[in-house]
Amino acid sequence: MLVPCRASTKLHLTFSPAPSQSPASSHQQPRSNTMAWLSRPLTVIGLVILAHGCYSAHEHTVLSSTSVQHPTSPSATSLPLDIYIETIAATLLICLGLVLGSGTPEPIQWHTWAGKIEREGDSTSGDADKELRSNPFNALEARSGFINISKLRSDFVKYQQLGK
Amino acid sequence: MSSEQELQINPIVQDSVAHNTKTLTNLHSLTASLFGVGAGILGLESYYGFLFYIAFSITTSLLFYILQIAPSSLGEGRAPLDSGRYYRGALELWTSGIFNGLPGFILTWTLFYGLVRA
Repeated sequence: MLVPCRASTKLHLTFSPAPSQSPASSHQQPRSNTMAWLSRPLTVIGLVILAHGCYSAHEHTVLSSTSVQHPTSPSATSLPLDIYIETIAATLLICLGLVLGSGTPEPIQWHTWAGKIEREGDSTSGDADKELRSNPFNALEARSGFINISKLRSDFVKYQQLGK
Repeated sequence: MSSEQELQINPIVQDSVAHNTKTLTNLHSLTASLFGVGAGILGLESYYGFLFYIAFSITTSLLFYILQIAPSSLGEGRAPLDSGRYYRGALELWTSGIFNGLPGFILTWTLFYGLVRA
C-alpha cells in the first residue's frame, strides 16, 4: 500500500557550500553587477587617452626626424616620459574596463553549480543563458506524487454504491 | 580509473567549462590587441615587446582573478590564487591566455609600430 505524497512539497536540496558560507557568496552577485556598470566608461576613457598618446608619439617622431638640431634616425629617438606614462596608464585602464566587462565565470563542479542556482534562482541571469541557468532540480520538484490505488478504488466503489 | 571514478563522484558541468573558457579567451584576445597598440606606440623592439606583452598578460589574468574569481572562490574556503572552482587545470587561467593572444598582439604591434614610426 502506497502512502500519498504531496508533489508540491519543496525539496530544499542545498548541497554545498554550508549554509554559514552562503551569505558570502550571495553578496558576490550584486557587487559584480555594480562593478560591471563601470566597465564601459573606463574602456572609453582609456581608449581616448590611448588615442591621444598615439597621436603624441606620432607627432614627436615626425618633429624630431625633421628638426635640424637632432638629425637622428626615427628609431633611435626616445619618447618623452609622459607619453610612456600616458600609454601605460591608458592600457591598464582599458584592461581594467575589459576585465570588469567580461562575464562572471560559472562554477564547474556540478554540486557547486546546482547549489548556487538553487539558492539564487534563475532570475539573476539574462535570457541568453536561460537553459544554462534553469533550476537543475526542476525534475525533482515538479514530479508527480504517488497514486494511492486502493483509496481511489474504494472511493469509486462508494461512488458506485451512491448511484444505486 | 581513479580519475574516472572521481568524475563520477564529482561531476563537471560541461556548459560551465565552455562558458568559462570562452570568457577567458575573449578577454585575452581583446586585451592582447590592446597591448599590441601600446607596444607599437612605445616603439618597443624585439625582446622588450614580448616582455611587455607577458607582463601585461599576467596582469590581466591577475585582475581577472581578483575581480571575478576571488570573491566567491575565497568565500568557498579555497586557498588564494586557486582557480579550481572555475577552471579544471591549475595553469589554465594563468598561461593559456598568453598563447591565445600572441598572434593578435604581434599583428597590432607591427601595425602601430609602422604607423607611429613611419
